[in-house]
Amino acid sequence: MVRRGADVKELGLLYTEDACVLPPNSDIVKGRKAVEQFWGGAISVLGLKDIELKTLEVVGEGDTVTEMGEYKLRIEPKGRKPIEDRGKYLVLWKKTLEGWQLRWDIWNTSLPAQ
Amino acid sequence: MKNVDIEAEKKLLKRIHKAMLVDHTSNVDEVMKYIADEAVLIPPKGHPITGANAIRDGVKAMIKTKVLSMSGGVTRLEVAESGDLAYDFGHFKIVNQGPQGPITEEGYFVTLYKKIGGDWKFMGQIWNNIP
Repeated sequence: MVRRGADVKELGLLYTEDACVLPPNSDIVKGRKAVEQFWGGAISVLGLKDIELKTLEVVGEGDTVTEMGEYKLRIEPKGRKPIEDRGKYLVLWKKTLEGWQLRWDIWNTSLPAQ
Repeated sequence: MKNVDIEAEKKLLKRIHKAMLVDHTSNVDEVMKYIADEAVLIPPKGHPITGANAIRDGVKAMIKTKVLSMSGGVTRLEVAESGDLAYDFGHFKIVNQGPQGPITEEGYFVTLYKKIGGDWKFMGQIWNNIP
């Protein structure tokens, strides 16, 4: 698990080289470099401050498992009121030579449409 | 390690994916035979729909909806080395007839399948939307 205050390089190392992130309202983010840029942008441009994750279920064994859970995140955009979002996520973990890493990562909000 | 014919399993999974598309069937039971008892649907802007019975109600509602067009599909499908877990992701765009006109929904999905009793079963799907 990545520590609070980690830089995007550390975040990137959570993911496999060929990871795919499928964020809402965005194209697919492909590859670790792009994933680093995505989270870097979320932190520096959107003002992402904190994410809390709660695992609900893990399915699979061997070198591949999927994890489903809930997230809560806090965004503090410059000059605007903070935003809190909560929702669900599903990630695919792969055991690699570097340890367990995220291969696919997708989430959606549980909040009703504004 | 089990000797798994990954390509053969992928063919089976593609067939199941197609059979489950609601614009290809009006038969709820046909869809439900692929769904695991503990399956979960994770839609945006709502709570997870857990269990085959709850999903059955959703499938009934989907089949009643008039689909004007549907496009997209699986971009990547993988089978784990264990041979009993598979997952795919892809893009979808669906236009449904709403009460006040067509409603378009577009986004990405990730689906999870598990082999239970020798058969592939749909374990869950999460999707989100893009503008």
